[in-house]
Amino acid sequence: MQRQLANMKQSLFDQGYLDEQFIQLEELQDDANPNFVEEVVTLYYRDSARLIQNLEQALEKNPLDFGKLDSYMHQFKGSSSSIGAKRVKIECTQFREYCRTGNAEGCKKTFQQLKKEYATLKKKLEVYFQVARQAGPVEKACRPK
Amino acid sequence: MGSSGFSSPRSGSFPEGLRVLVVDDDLTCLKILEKMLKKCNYKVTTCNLTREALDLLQERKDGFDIVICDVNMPDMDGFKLLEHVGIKMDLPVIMMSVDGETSRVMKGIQHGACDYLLKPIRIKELQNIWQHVVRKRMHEARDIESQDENQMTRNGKEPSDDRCSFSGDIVSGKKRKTVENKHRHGEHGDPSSEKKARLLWNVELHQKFMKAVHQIGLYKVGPKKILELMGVPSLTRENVASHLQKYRLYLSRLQKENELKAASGGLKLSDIYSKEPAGNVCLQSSMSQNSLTVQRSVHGHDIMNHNHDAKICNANVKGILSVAAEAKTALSTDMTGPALSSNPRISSSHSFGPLHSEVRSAPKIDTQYSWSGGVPSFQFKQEIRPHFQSEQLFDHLPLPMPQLQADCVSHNSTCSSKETDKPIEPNINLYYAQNRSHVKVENTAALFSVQPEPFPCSVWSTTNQGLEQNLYDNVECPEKNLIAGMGSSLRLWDEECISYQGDFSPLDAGGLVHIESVDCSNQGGLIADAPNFHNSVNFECDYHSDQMGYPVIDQGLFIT
Repeated sequence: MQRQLANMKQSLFDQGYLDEQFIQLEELQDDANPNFVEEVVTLYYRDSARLIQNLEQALEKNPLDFGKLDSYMHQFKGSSSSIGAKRVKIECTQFREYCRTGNAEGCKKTFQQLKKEYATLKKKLEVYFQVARQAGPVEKACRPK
Repeated sequence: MGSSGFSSPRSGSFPEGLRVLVVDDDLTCLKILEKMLKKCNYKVTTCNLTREALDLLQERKDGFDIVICDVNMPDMDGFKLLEHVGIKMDLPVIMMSVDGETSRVMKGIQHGACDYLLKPIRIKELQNIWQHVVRKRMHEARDIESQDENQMTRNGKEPSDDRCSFSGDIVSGKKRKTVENKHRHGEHGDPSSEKKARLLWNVELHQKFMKAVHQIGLYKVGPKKILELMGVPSLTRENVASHLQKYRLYLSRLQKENELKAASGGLKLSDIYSKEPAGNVCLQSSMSQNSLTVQRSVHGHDIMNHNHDAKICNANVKGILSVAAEAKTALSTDMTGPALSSNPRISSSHSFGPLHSEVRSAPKIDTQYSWSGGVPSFQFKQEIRPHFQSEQLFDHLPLPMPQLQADCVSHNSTCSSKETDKPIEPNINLYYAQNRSHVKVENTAALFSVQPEPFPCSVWSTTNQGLEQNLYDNVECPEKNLIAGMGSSLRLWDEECISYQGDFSPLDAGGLVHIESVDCSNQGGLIADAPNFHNSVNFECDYHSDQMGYPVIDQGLFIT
């Protein structure tokens, strides 16, 4: 189980879904907060859902308010980078770049891409946490269940 | 928080139990930060809104040691909060953001932030935030002391090596030294003119100052006019003069940094002198050989920090070094404020504090701070990029400063020993107010042994102290106030320099030789341009200038 977990994590990193920040979060996890990372990620998804919605609405306006879009995305980027969502962060940066140059098409396309990455990561992390919970804390791993 | 030491009860040793207030609208970040801070054994309080944070701070006046705040807050601009807290409550404030753009970071520093962290934040960065608290307290302590005791051991410069060691009684231990520096600073050869209360150039004042300077125009500006425009009753002309001085130095430093960037090593004094000095060029040039100049700039740069005093000078040297190193991370010198490539963190952890902050990896810094590099001559290549930041602080005023390039590179081995204090490491706190009154004061004598007899003020002939005295003695120029200011700053740096000097002297037969060598190159350049303070000072190549202390200084360096 542990090995499966480790493999999953490794693949997430290899594929660029997660970055170093995620490791930082894991290091914060301890007996007092054994599911810290999961909690944070859950919080992230809940909180950012709101931002995603705002972005959707803003992108439907015509003409686009790039300032506002940039500001939302700035926040979103902040959250995403806090949990180490690498791919999502990359899309955020791209999006902001398009905002800066006033490229509406670019923004919309990037946003779609971003949503995809966001959703993919969410699913992957859900599985990851499930396995993690089953695997139990590392110390107890060897204890027979 | 008591003025001396940490009054709040703490279980365990400092910095455990540090009371941190975190303000961020992003819940995810907030949660992570809270956890990280708890891991550092700090006491954390979190807030979602700035208003809430301000309320909390008001309620519990002494309830927090440090505040960490996000720049982008929905209800109030993070910078505003920064001003409120930093100025009114005098708490150290750290800003955070995803955005590491130089201009943003600069803005943060300008508004008085102790540090500027880039998100995502790593726990390591949080582990060191306690330094800001200590630093601030040291400043406060110093201020209080200087106000009380004007005549503290002025000349008793003791190496403050322990300044950096925060073990035991941190604050009080340093008071003495800092006070000394302060006095030195305030001593314009006229003890009675010691300011009644140490003036803290806080953000508001500085902004007023900047506005006034802008209005008048940097070259035409004079302390009197500034004072009038500023309209701050408690401000004296001396205050303004000295502040202006620092500012100019800072500007020239920035220029120098710019130059340095382009230049690669070697003391390019000629370059330095090629431009019309906005004011401290001369000094700078003379100092270029020493990290002093660097200090100066740093010094000026420090203006944003609350204390302009000597501490800064001292710190400057270090700061500069560190700054240089840090420069990478810090803002790149471009005035245009290019986005920092790497993490622009102003003022990183240890070493110098201020301004600094902390910012950080601009590619350009060439860290000439290869203090360890064994370069025989005094090549002070001080890339003080971080100063650049300061520059922005100063409202983008034109920097006509000549590029003084202090190539400190050479400080090689000898220097390296001295490096102990030098923050070559990449952490520069812009806020390095703490000076490290360096150590080897005695060495300076060696260094400055050349004594320019021809100069009326053989500045360099004497030791640091003497230097300072001389400066004052010779100040006769019309812009005396400026000079005075400069003098004090010189003094300030002298201390610092001297300490460095000490190192240098071994470099080469007392270092003078080097100076000379440098001198040669400088000769032409140095004086060439000088009218620095409104041309009252003429740094003639041969300096027989009796006019200003500056020339003397320069000359001193070059004269064998």
